[in-house]
Amino acid sequence: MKAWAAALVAAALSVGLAGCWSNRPVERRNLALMLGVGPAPHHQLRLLFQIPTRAGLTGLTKGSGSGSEPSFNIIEGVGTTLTDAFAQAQAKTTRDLYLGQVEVVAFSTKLSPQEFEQARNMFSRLGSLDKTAYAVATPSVRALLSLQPRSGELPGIILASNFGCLSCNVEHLERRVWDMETASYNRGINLWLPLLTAGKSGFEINQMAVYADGHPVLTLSPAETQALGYVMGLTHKGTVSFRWHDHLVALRGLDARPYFHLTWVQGRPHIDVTLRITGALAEYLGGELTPEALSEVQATAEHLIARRVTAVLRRLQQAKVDPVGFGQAWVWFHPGRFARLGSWRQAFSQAAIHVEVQLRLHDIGDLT
Amino acid sequence: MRIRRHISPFQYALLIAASYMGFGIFQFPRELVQRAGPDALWALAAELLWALAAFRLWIAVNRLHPDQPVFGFAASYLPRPVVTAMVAITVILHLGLAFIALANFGFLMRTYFLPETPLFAIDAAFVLTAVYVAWYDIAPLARTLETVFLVPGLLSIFIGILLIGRMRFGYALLPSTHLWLLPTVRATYHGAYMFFGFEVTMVLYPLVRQEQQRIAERYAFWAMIFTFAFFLFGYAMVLGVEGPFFLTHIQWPTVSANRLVDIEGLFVNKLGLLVVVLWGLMLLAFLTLRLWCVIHDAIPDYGVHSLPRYRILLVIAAALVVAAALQIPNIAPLDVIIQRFMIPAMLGYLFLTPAVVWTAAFLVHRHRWDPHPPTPRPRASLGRPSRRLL
Amino acid sequence: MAWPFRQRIPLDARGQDQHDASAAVSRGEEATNQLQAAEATLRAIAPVDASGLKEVETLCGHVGSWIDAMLEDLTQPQGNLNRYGGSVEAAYERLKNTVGTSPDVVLRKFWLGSQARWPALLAFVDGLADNTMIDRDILMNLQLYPIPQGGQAEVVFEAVHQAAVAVGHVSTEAEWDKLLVKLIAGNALLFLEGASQVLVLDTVKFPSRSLGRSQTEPSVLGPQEAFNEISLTQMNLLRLRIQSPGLRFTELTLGNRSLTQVLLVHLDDVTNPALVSAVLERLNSIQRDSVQTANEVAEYLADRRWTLFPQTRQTDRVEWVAREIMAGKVAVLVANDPFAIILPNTLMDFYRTTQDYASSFWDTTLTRMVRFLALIIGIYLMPLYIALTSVNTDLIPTKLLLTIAGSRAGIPFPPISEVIIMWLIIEVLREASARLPQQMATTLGTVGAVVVGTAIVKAGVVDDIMIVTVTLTALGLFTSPSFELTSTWRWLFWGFIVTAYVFGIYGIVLMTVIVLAHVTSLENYGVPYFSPWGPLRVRELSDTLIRLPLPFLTRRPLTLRTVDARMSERTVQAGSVDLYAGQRRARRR
Repeated sequence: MKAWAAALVAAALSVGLAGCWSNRPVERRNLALMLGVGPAPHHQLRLLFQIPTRAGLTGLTKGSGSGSEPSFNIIEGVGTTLTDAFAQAQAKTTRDLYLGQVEVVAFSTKLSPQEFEQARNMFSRLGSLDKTAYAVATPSVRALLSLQPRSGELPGIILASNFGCLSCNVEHLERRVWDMETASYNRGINLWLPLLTAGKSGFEINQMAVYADGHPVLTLSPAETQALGYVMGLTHKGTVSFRWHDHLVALRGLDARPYFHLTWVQGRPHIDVTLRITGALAEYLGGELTPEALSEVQATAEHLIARRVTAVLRRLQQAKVDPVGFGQAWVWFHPGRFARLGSWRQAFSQAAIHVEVQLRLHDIGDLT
Repeated sequence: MRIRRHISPFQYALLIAASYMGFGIFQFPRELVQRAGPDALWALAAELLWALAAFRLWIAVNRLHPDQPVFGFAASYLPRPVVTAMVAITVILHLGLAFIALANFGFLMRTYFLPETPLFAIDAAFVLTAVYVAWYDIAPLARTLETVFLVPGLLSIFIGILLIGRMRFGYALLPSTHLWLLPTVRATYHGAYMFFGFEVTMVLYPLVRQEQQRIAERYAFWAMIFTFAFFLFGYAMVLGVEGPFFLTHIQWPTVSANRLVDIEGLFVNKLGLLVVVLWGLMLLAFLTLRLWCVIHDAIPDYGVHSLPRYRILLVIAAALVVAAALQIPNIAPLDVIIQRFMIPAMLGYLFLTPAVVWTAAFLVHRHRWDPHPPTPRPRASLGRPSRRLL
Repeated sequence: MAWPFRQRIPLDARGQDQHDASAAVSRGEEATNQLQAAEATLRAIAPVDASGLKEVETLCGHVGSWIDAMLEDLTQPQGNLNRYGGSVEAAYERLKNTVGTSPDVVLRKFWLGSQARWPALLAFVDGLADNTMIDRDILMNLQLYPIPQGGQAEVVFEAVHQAAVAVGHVSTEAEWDKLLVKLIAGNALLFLEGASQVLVLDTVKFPSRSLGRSQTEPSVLGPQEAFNEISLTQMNLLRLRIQSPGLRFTELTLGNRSLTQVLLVHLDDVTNPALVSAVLERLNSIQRDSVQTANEVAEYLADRRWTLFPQTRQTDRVEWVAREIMAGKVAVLVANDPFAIILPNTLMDFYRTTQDYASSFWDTTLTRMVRFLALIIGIYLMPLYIALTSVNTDLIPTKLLLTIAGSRAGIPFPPISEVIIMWLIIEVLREASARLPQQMATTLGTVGAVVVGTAIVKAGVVDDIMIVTVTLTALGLFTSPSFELTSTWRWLFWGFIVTAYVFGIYGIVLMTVIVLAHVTSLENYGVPYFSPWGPLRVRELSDTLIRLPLPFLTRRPLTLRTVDARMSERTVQAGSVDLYAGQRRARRR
């Protein structure tokens, strides 16, 4: 028994004396909710952390911010590498900068390809960084991180709930840090990120930035984003308005199921895209809604959507980027031919793309 | 106090499954995808085939003397020095597997869970737990596994189902229609660690009651197929979520995939990470069995049937394993050790040892056959049927 | 002064009509006389205060007469110090100077018979023996019984034994050590002059309390009665419930000085005989002076002494003991303790209650699941709170973590200290309310919950979420239906707290494995403690977390290896009953 008691005391002492190791209560951590990476002068990198203040934290349970006090503050670090920048930021605060609960990671679109790759690499290696955090591109990291929404809530929480909500946006543009990693390494696909801007009333999320080699080579307009969203299965509340027999017709709730087929004809890829779209008739003043009239409306809309989708795909081809990943499967299953081909992006830019849209209006409302 | 006890066929199958399941669960299927490319699925199937074949070979050897551990009767057919060498190799390999598993898990825990906790603490806590599980010998060990295994197993399947929603690379799951033999074989070789460990049957088999041994064999084979199905499910999930090219860049692909599970509305929303810790149980079972086996392989019938003596050896083996694991600074050299040394050594061992013993037995029976085959030694450590009273 | 004991003392008064005690001057009296002489001499020599000698004289008187009584016994034909020699006077002296010094021991000398006067002595313990029986059935009968003049002692003894005493249970005994034990147990001893044996009359009247309800294991449905402290009542209650002649009680006496009656109960045609003999062997090996509670026996019966997990179950529920005996277990009844020991047990046995079988299986299943869930909450909630707020902070939803961080802002202590503070408060409150009368305990509980809980949050020592967590934990840990387990989980709880503090979730998982490994390593009389989960017995899972309808529970626990494995037959469910059949038949006719 004496031996056991001694062993127990020794074990207790060793644990007690060794300190707390990984044990650090939550109130002794600086919980970064948003993280921003942007360029700094002299080829340096800037790392920004958005940390909720005590007012921001207590405001969570009360439902809103406490008014005068800001709900968060920003800690900034600058360095040649992100690690240096991190160290500088850490030196500015007395508590541990903790990345396990980061909700949004924002990358400046002004980062050079090397800087972008460096940031991506560091985030991949960090075991403590939450891989399910949302990744966004933004023209100004500082503006994005400094935006205090009018509701007074924490911006990171608002963004996270926005991305997590399927019915809150026209396109479901959520990208995780994880998606960024997979898209960067996997072949036959280009990385894209939602382009997030700080507007006057809050965040604006309706654009897409397509990356190639760590650089945003193409920024799509909201309309283009919606059109590409059909192809990528991202658009769930699409709209289309057009004039039909001198009447304005509007369709809403357009949701697409995309199908591709890739064939090679004389060394050139042929891509057939079929979009099966369902939606609802929102506005129609063209008289009685007969089946014939309805199919004409549908045909017109199909044509219009096909044109828009083709246009956006053409823009992608011109920029030699393929965020959809038309060639992924082919690249994987034909490693030999892919090696001979050299670059999928090149092949994609010369691909013949044919888009077919099949629209079905499931809901025409309560009027005939 | 004698320590050996009987185990049920189900426990035997479970112990056999536990003896290999924990080792590769964190790394696989990196090597398969890296080397076989689109044929990774075929390489995975090939893993099962070689494992089944080698296991069948071991069973054949076990059947020679169903009531004795293999190294207990091997001396009847082979010269004593050869058997001693085999025992020494077995011990080294067991300790090797144990220390690799421990070091690997330690790095993983430090990377994802306890970044500021020293490695020795993580490793020591793990090994102490393993020692305690093995403390009362095989029966409690088997019972603990019976209770413990179900939870991570079921949760893993649940996590896998949740991951389906995160699959972006579903195309990679399709089996390739043209098979490149050489890459597939190479991938099978490099990914062979998935099934390392079932040689524990050499000491476990005699613990099953003789009339139940055939059932136990059948259960063990089914367990192997079930494990394969589990791995296959994991393979599909990991490949579909990470994509084939990214997967080859990840240190612990299954863990990375698990980290993506995020369920709203739960107290612990990163359930996948929790499951990774629970997978530690599989590794714990692996480690515990290794520690148990080291002692029973090394001294099959030299009278290690007293609990205190068994425990002393257990603690020594555990201390050796921790000490060895702490010598590895990070995961990079560990990969080299596995790929360059452990795989050839274990593959050679798993096929050659039973082949040699079986052939020797075959030759002895054929050429120097007499109506009384070599009488089994008295079962020093197996003699008592059961301490169970009833 | 040397005592002249070795000389033989002549005694010749035996068998005469009137006992003449003064016929010989005993050595004891001699000694007393000598002492008195010495005292007188002392007084004569000098004016010394020799009052101290008086006490010595009295003591010598007692010792002397005791020795005389023993010598008297020694002079009998089978001369033996331990035997009653036939002299009532000697017996009287012997008893008076030993047990008779206690005020409750009554020694009544009387004459037997209405005509001939035969000296007799009745000894009994006041209170333990039934006074009515003593007065009416023994003394009155004996004094009025017509004993023939000049009869032989043996004839008189036989007549008294067979005809005079109106007591149900009468036995004879001659050895003093046994007689004294019987006397103390409440029997009346009847000494007859000249007889070689003593009549032991069963007048035992137990000072017992009436049968009450079980306070420790209350049940809404089902039988309510609980044992009292009396072995005989316990036996009777069990006999009422198990009327099979196979019910066996094996009697033992434990406690070298307390001489406590212990009964081993089993069902002869069900219980494994190896189990019975193993328990008997262990019971017999118990060597202690006193056995006052059942637990003093139970702790000797466990296989492992140091484990936190209870090995034997103690219950005062008659129905439960009967049920367990029927299942093939063994019960040990300890006199003066209403709690019977049941063994061998599995962990699951501690989670089964009377109500589980007295109510529907749906109800039982739900209750058992709640109990399990409560246990999980009780053990894991607090360690998880520590792990998730201090170590693995990335595992919980951001909003929850921020809420916790918000509520913890300004709290001076880390979560672990909060746990210690709160737990101390709860334990102190618990212990205090357990020691107080019930009405006050309720008040104290309210005071503790409301005042301390609210005040401590307001004082900023502990945060709100911790109060919720602690309350749930305490409630969870106290849902354990058997009292034996509550402290087990409370001890283990701290193991989980410490490991969670150091290693977070990883520590909790490792600790769970250690607990499981420990539980699976436990065995009692060859029965694995964690059965039916480890070793897995799929069939027996039907009465664990869930309970199937009783017709499906047909077998006794396999681990008990009972002689008769089957407990019931699965009755075939009959089809629908045609209540109109009779009418139809009548109409047809």
